[in-house]
Amino acid sequence: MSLIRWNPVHELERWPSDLFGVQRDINRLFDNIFLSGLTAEETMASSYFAPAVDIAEQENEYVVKVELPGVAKEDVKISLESNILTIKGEKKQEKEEKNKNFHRVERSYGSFQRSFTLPSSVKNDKIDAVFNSGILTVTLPKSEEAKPKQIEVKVR
Amino acid sequence: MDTNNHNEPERGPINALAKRPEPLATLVTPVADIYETADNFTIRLDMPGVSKDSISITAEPDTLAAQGEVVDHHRESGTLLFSEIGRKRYVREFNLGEGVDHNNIEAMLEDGVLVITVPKTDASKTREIHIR
Repeated sequence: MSLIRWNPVHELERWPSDLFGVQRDINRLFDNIFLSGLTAEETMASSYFAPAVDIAEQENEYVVKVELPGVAKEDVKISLESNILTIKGEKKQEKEEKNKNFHRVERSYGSFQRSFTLPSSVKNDKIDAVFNSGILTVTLPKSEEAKPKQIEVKVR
Repeated sequence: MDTNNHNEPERGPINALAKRPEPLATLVTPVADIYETADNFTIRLDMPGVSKDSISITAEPDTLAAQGEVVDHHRESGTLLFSEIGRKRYVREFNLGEGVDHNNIEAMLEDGVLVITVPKTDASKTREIHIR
């Protein structure tokens, strides 16, 4: 048996007739990339994305906006722990129709999470969240000590 | 309070000239899922922040174009500490092939997702054939 230099391109060219060895590893890799060969649940469990976020500061509050199109409000969890705001949840695939034949899947499904450290303390019990046209808006009122104070300077 | 300047009335010609221009909307290609059922093709486009009024969908025999604009939701929001969303305009075009009924395309907006349903023509619908 002569020694032949391994050529990865050659390996790929033999696809799909050779499904063993290295080829199996390559296939597994491709399966992971294209999400084929996985059940819907496995796909959900393995995918992860980070939604886009805007944070604005107003005089008395912070306003956090998160882009979550197609996410149900029951599937979003907002928590605040020692000034770290965490927004996480899951985007589920729409399930109203059976026998769908997908031509294109560009939208992300699965779990998402974003965390931010807020620059000052907020009133934990006054946090408000609204979901409107795919944008989650979280309003966090600043605590009294974090609000800007007007200091009068006396001129003598 | 610089961000609120757009709403102030103009006073005199100099002020009109000095008016700060509107920040330009970034053109964004919205991500899409396309699937086919027995009777329709459905396109789902992520357009978070878009209002129903700003959406326009045009269908020609061979193309379908959808666009929508995010209203500037930061005008009232004070100083931006962190910004990934911004002001944007979503534009996407699709080619329509044979066998779609471009006169009966329907669209709806649900939770920031634009759902466009393109019906198939009768000739291209999937029919189940029963074996006698």
